Amino acid sequence: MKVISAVSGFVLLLLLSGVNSFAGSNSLLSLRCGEGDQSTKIYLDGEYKGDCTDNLQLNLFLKAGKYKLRAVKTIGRDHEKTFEKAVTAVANSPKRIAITLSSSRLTAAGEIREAEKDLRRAERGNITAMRSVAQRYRKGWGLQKNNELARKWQKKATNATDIANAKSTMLSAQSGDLNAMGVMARYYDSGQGVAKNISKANYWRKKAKDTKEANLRAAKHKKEADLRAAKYKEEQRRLKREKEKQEREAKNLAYRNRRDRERLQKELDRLSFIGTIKYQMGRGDKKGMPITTFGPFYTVTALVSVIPNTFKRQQIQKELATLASAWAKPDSLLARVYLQQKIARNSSDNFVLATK
Amino acid sequence: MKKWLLYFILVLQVGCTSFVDYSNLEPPSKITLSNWQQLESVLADAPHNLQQEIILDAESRLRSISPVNESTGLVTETSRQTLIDILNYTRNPVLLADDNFIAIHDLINGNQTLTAQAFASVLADSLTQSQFQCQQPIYWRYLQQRYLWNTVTSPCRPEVPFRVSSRHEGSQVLWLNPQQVSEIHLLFGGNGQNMASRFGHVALRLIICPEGQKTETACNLNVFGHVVIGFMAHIDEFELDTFKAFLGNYKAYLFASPFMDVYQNYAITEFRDVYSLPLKLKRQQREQMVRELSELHWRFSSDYNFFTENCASLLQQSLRVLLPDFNQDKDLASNYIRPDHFFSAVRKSNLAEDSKLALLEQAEKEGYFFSSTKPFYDKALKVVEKSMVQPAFNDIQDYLAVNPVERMQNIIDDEEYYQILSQDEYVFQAQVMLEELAVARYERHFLAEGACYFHEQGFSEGTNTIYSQLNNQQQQLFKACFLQPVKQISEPRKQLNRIPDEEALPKLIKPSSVCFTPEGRAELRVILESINSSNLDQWQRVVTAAHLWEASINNVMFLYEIVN
Repeated sequence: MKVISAVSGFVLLLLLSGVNSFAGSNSLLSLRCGEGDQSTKIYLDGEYKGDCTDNLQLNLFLKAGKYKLRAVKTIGRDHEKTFEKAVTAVANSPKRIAITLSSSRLTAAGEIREAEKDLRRAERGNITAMRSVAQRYRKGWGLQKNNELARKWQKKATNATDIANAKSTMLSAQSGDLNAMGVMARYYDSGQGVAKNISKANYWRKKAKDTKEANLRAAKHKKEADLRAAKYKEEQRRLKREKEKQEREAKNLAYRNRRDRERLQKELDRLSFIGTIKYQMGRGDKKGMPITTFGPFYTVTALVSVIPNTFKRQQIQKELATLASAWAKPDSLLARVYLQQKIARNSSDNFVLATK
Repeated sequence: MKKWLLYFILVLQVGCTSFVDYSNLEPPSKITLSNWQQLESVLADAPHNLQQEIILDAESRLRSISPVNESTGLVTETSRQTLIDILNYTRNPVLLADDNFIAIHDLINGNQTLTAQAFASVLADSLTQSQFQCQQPIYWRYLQQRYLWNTVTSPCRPEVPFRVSSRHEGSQVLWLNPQQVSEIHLLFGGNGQNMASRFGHVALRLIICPEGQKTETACNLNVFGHVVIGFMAHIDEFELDTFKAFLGNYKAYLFASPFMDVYQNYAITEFRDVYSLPLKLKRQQREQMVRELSELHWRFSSDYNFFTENCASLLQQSLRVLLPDFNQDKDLASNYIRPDHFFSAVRKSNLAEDSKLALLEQAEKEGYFFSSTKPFYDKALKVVEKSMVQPAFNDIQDYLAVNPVERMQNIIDDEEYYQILSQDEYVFQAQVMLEELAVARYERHFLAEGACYFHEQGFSEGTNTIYSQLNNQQQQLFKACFLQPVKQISEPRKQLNRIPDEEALPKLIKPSSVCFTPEGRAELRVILESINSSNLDQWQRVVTAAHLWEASINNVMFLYEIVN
């Protein structure tokens, strides 16, 4: 009886503890981490609850109620990825949450270290660091919130910016930049980035005015010079055309020359066969055209042609073969061949028969 | 005719098994043992059936030898001679010429009588010459087919030679790779006006692709590289003697010429249409045909007869040998004498792609038809006539009849027309065309007058007359520029018995380069003009024609100067 009671009691206790572990918790929070996010630490209301393990899951048994869930994965010394969510645990109802970590950012300690770096840079005169320090003081990022210090550093940053701007503008003004000269005048008027100085302000205003006038004069001179150059080129072209025209007329004149004409005519008349040739070439007789120098017969007379065989005659010969087809039947194959010849001729320096 | 006579003789022979009359042959000589051994090594690469037949014949002669001391009394023969000995006296039909061989022999040897030694010689050469298949491709193809001969010997040079004769550039050897030939066409020059060209002319046209390019367009456009291969009479004098042509007193050869020379001659100078009909050939057939045409080109020599042995009949005979399919076609079974009839028959047959000529307009675009240029020049004349103020001509003949100097003067004097020429390219080209036609016609006229002069004079007397009147330097020039090239053309061609290699090519005499220099030409002109010829009238006509020709050339040059 005692044994049975002891055993029963033990079993009952076990059962009760099991019931109590859920009945007492009465809600299940199942957290799932992303791939590669093992060792992410889970906190509920600031209390550490465990890590995402190798199977990337963590089950938490909770009482019904509201909680602040925070997951943190440390990256290096100063950075971390976090996830935060307000969770409501409902009795007897499991809840699944997928933990999506943020991008990497500074930890609190990291923030402090960065703030210290910024401070040191700012003290050395780094304008960006000055602004950063001002913001840190304003927001409390890595530095204790302090509006006065924030304003101080902001002012420092502004002053340093002004000085840097003034230096840069001065260089531009000294190089002749008209706008920069105007800006320097304003800076000297207002004391922005430089010590206020009216006479220096006046100096830069005058310099800007003088430079502008000088630039205008130079532009005018260039325009006039370009115009003169264009006129000169046009004149040269005109002279060249004139010269070519004179050369052509001179050639024509030579040919028209009465004396040359008469001489040629006399020479041919002396041979006294023009009439006969006219008859033969025009109306034909048995000698006007040989029976054939080709076709089925291959005559020796073909060789006589080698005597006046000149480069010019060969070129004319090649063109003769295709020009007629190109002119009358532009779609024909020979017309295409003629075109090819023409392209080859135009790209050749030596060809005599230049095309139009 | 000769063929039928041969058959008649064959019938008279016992059993029609022999094509040779042995009664006149000397008894066969004996074969020595060393001959026999040489023969064995020669036959090592021959087809088995051929080997066996020759060995049987040889053995019968070897066994019949009485024991003789081989060191005395018998002349040592070469293997070739031994083979010929055996083959000359064999009665074995496997080792005798058949119909196919007769057809080839007739073609290659110009219908000469088949002798007993012909077949023996060819077969012996095929067994003893390592280059036989490269140099005699027609016979080689025949032997391959007859004896199923597939032995691979040393590779042939890819190219085969042709001697291409151009009117303006003389003769040059073209080494042509058959793979560069994309098509072979049957070329037909349409009917002409004179008697000799009344029925047209046929030849073969090789469509040769430019180096490194194989596209159809590139190959077709390469017209200046295409070659025409055709049977023609070799006129060994200055003028054609029609009577001689009818009687067959000119030699016929298979000539090679540039296609554009042929085109210009037909379509421009003679105003004839030119048709180019592609033959249906597989690549291997085409390449083989190019090689065999080369062999025919170097070997063929026959008598040209206007009626029976002309361009059409000889080409038909050749195609029967070169293209076995030719004999199967019923449209081509008849023998054609007229080129136009032969061309029509080939068009109708299955051997040609007649569809290419179905629409002449399209065919002209693709290069299968080249129309006579007469309508082009007529149109150009109309354009020029319309543009001139007072044209001095009504038609082409009128135009050509005007003195070229006068023609150019008319152009210059017509100021309005002169301006048009410099501004309107269409009119300008029409004018250039007419002057270029005049160049072609005057050139032909000049050749005719020159031919007439030497014909009337008698060639040797004419040249002797000229020669005797020249000084030494002039004689050298006249000889180099005129006499030697003319002699080369007029002498009968020395035909070969195979496709030659470079060393065996006949030397081509070209006019010396001095003939083309301005100084050389000027000197030749002086020679022409200073000749005190006994036939002064005709000689003056030659000189005048030369002047007119040159004046036309100057007109073309001057026209181009107008626009430049």
